[in-house]
Amino acid sequence: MTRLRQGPEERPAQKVGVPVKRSIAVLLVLALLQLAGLLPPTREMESLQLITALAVDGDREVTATALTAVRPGEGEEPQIFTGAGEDLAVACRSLRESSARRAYLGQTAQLLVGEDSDLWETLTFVLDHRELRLDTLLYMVRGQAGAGLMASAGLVSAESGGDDVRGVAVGRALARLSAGDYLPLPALSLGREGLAPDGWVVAGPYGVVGDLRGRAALGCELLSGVKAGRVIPLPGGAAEILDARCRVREDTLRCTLTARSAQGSPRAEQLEEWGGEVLSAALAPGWDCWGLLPLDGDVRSLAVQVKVRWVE
Amino acid sequence: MVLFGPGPAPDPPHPRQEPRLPGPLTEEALTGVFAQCVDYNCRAVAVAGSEQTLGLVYLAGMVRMERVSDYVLRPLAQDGALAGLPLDTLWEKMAAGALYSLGVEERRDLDTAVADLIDGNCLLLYPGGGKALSFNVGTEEKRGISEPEEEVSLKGPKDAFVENLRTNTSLVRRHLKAPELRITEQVVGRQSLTPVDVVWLEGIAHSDTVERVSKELEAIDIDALLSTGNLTEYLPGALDTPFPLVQSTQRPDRFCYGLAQGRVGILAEGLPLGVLAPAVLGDFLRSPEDRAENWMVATALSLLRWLCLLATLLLPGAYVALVSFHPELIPTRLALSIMAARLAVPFSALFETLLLLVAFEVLQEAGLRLPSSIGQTVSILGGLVVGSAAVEAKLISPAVLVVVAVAGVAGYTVPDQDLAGALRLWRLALAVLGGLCGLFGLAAGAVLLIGHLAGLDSFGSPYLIPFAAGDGEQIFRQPLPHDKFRPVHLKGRNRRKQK
Repeated sequence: MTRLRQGPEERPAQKVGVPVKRSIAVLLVLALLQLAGLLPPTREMESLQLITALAVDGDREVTATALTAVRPGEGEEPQIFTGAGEDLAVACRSLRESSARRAYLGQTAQLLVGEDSDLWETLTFVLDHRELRLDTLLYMVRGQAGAGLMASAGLVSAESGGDDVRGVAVGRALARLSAGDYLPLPALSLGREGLAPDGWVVAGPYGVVGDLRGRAALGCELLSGVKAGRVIPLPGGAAEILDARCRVREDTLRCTLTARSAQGSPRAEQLEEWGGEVLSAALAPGWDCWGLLPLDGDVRSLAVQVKVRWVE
Repeated sequence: MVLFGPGPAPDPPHPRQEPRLPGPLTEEALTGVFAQCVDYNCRAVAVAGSEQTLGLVYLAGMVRMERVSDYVLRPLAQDGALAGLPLDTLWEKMAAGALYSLGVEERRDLDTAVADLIDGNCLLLYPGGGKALSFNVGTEEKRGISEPEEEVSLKGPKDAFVENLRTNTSLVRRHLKAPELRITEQVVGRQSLTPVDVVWLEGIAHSDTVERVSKELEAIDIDALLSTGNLTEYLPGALDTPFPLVQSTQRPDRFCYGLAQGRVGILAEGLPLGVLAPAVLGDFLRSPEDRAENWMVATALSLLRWLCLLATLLLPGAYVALVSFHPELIPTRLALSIMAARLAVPFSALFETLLLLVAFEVLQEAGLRLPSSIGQTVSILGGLVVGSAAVEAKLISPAVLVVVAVAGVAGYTVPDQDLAGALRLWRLALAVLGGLCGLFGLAAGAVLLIGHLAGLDSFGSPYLIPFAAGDGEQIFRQPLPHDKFRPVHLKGRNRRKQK
């Protein structure tokens, strides 16, 4: 039954709209701060020129060469910007001034360091720079990195760089070198079709200490776990290495290669012999780039034992 | 300054009169109350075999004429047993059942007599005034029980609440036959005088919650209770947040499940909805279908809804923040595509996103308010034609169109429209924060939102209970045989549901 009661006489006044006012106030303050330039400025993407690769050359007079990223299959031409200065920071500023749109280094996927550059200075510059990233892949270029980059512009600009199995990230390189380790860095050299893999450069705590080329470079690949489809010509044909696992046990470097026949009928002993040779060549200079032994250990003293596992 | 200051002082409460209509119950008084009311009828009725006449008063349209004729007038005119009786004896006999009405009440004050007339009763006035007999002869005009339109279920029951309160309580009784079901009634609304029922299961719902709900309803002072919002906005804390603190449902089965869990229900005359309290965030992300589905499927769908909640809330803000402040976080190829698409667009990413979010809301609002056939046309015209034309005209970039559309569609997976509305509001605010301060702003906004939600309380239950008390059932649907206990936060005395 309906009653005509209408609730209590008095009802406390409610705080209406307080959160709305607060929210509007916060947004207004933020908008004012943004207008006053007190908040970080926006970097609208259309005003940027995305740089995908940066080459560094020179020691006292540093030259930075940047290559813009292009979309693959769109027929765009990559642009190249160059800047020079007394150090890399000045060179990068100069590089930016040469671009109509702001050259943005935050997407740099590949860092190419020329052989005459100071590797450590370059790495610490990346560490300090607010845009450059520590997952940028680091390459050492035999000769001038800038010239190599210009010659390979078409190839490099459409790459993201992140899927190169040889690549070493700047962050990892910094960590290893800071810890006093040696580190193999992939090396490139300028060929007829542009930059091409050319062995490894060994970096130590005080800079570049040497090279691993030829057989030693192949041994370095095995020790680094890089195996992607490497085909080895052998007397009875050719074998494709699918996997390489190396570990040290009782002063012996034991390496297990998983391979399959790529051509003819290669024998396991031949591949084992080849493996032993390239691994010994990689260990011969005495740089333990792969963390095989404790710091005071000598990799040259390791015996090498290779086993091959064939797969169909 | 209104924005930061305390605002204008509220009006003092209006003085009210209890009872509303003082004075003696007479025909003149009733005629005065219903002056200028064409539906007010008053006639003299002769008692069989005597000179005695009684005044019959009713409101046309509110009473069913056949009932008045058959159950009140016919016995009065034809029943020989009533003929020649003294007035007081006649009156006693009529009150005792000589007239065929299930509900007969004697009224001695004008206030309740008027209320009875409005409720659809007719009054037989005692000659000379002072008292009247009130007979329940009201019409039962109501919509038939139909399928719920907004909470569709494939496997569940197909009945939905209607506007008639008694029909709704009967629906609840049919689903929950437990004699412990309690239904109490209060009247809300100065002018609408809407009966509002509080429904709960005695011994299962926490008595404090029942008491709090009843007190809150009693405290509501509103002119007319005509929609659910009229009710829910008066509940505690509702003004400080866009998030719903009670759950409304069209489905009696869902309503009854809530009661069986230990929640308290509210039903109001004229509203085809039931309201459940307390309600926490997880309740709004449960679909009525959840308990009809296989538990693994239901859990997967529940997780999907939680993910969609995050997507609808954060996606536009994250897009604006990434494009405007942190392009380094976007994969190079995607960044190049976005850049290429945005090169010819004249607006900033923030403005473009806000523009589309607002346009999305406008389209949605237009589609909802228009008749369904026109609404669909508007949606297609606005969404597809205007959208693709705007992209072709380089007014907006395709990326932002995709982002806003994905966020919008993800929002539709949220089963509760009240929650979806709150999310839309916060989505806009987070997009602004992302556009002003990048991911820092977005993160700060998200922290504010979490802080806001953590501070909410629905009749004693913390809003973020699924995360605050590890109540996994709010997110994962347990297999029903393992679902043995009612939620902890409802604080019911009887927590066990099954062996």
